[in-house]
Amino acid sequence: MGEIEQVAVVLLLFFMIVALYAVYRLRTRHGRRPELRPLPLSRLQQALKHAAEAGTAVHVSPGLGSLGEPGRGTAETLAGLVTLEGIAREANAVGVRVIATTASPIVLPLAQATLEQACLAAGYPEDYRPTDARFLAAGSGPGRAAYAAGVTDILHHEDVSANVMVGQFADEYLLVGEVGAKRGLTQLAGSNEPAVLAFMAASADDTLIGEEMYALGAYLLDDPVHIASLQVQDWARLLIVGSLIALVIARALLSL
Amino acid sequence: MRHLLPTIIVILTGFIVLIEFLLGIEVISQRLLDWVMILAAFAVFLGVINVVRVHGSRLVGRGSSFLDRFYSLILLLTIIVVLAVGIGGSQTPLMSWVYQYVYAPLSATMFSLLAFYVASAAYRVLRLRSWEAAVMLVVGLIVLLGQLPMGSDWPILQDLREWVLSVPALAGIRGIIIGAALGALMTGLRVLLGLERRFLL
Repeated sequence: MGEIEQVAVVLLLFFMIVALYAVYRLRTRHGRRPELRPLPLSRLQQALKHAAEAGTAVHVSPGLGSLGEPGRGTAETLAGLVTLEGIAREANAVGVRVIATTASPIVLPLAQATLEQACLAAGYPEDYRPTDARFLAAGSGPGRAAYAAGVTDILHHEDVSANVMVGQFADEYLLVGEVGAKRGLTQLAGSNEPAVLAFMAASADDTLIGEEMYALGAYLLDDPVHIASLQVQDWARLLIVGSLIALVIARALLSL
Repeated sequence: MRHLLPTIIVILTGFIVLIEFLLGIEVISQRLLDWVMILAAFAVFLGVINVVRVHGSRLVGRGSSFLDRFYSLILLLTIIVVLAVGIGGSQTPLMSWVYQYVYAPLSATMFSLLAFYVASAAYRVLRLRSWEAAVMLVVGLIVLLGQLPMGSDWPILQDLREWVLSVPALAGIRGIIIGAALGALMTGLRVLLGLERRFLL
């Protein structure tokens, strides 16, 4: 396939996805919402209720990634920030304090704004504390271990009863996840890195695998933009699966 | 209205990068990446201010224990020392010494704990509490034994290990990667179309 054909195929796919997205966005706006399959979020919601009764806090991490920096998982970080927003909204509604930690100074003001907006939306602007969103260490190189050490300290000393880690992580996740498991915290973890998912499955109560973490906006925020996005993802997945099966059959027939 | 200008910037820059990608050139997009790196460098100041604020309030706050105050003091002093050392630049011998003989060993120490944490996580997963745990235990044993040097004495073990890694495990990993790629694609599209506006301050 030549360069012009490649560009044509990419543009065709792009406009197809945009058109499909526009259709589903309109349908969602007119109240035609799909039935979403359940994600493992019930334990976290239960933990928020317990935290409200016990007066404990919830720790949320949008990962070690950043926004816009090459190789720092912008999409995963956005998914982590959506998760933070959803949890902060639910937590603030019942008076639970949320501590957010980041490994990127670019993400820090976004985490602060998310927590502030959640407090405002819940009607308790006085509950917002700028120091509840914390930059612990740069999330690249040796800073990853420093970040893990910082989160571990929070889980040990800040009266936290639930730990949510959704975003870009690497091996150092286990340093935090195991501390959370040993302290009996309710843990929800999500990543799209298969090697890290093994650690998450071992230490967290519930794990969000790959695309599930991108779907949290539709579940936690009930956001029509995210719901329409999920429906397009389903069609794209069907297209990929169909193409794979067709190619396998075609290749098998050609090799006969 | 507050979000209009940032949204226009996001859409414009997104399409510029996309068009350059399709045309196979990197003129403006490379410049934009440079700007991101400069912004990220300045954002570090925000991070330092946040660290000082958190640990400053812990140091002088009423509810903190003696140890909390002590560790916060150490951290704040370390910031001052490293800043003083780094004034001459990040490539000075003193800064390299701090990085090589303090920061890197501390980081390595944290990572060395992973061995113990992996063992305790494996113990928790492999406890025979359900059918899934039993399957995981058997498959884990096959893969581990197949990787041992003595595994070469039992070719069937090596064949089984090879099959586990290259068929069910690889199929699962590919499924996760395809799903995650679709999720990332749609996230990117929402940003590109200016629909993901909640993070525009």
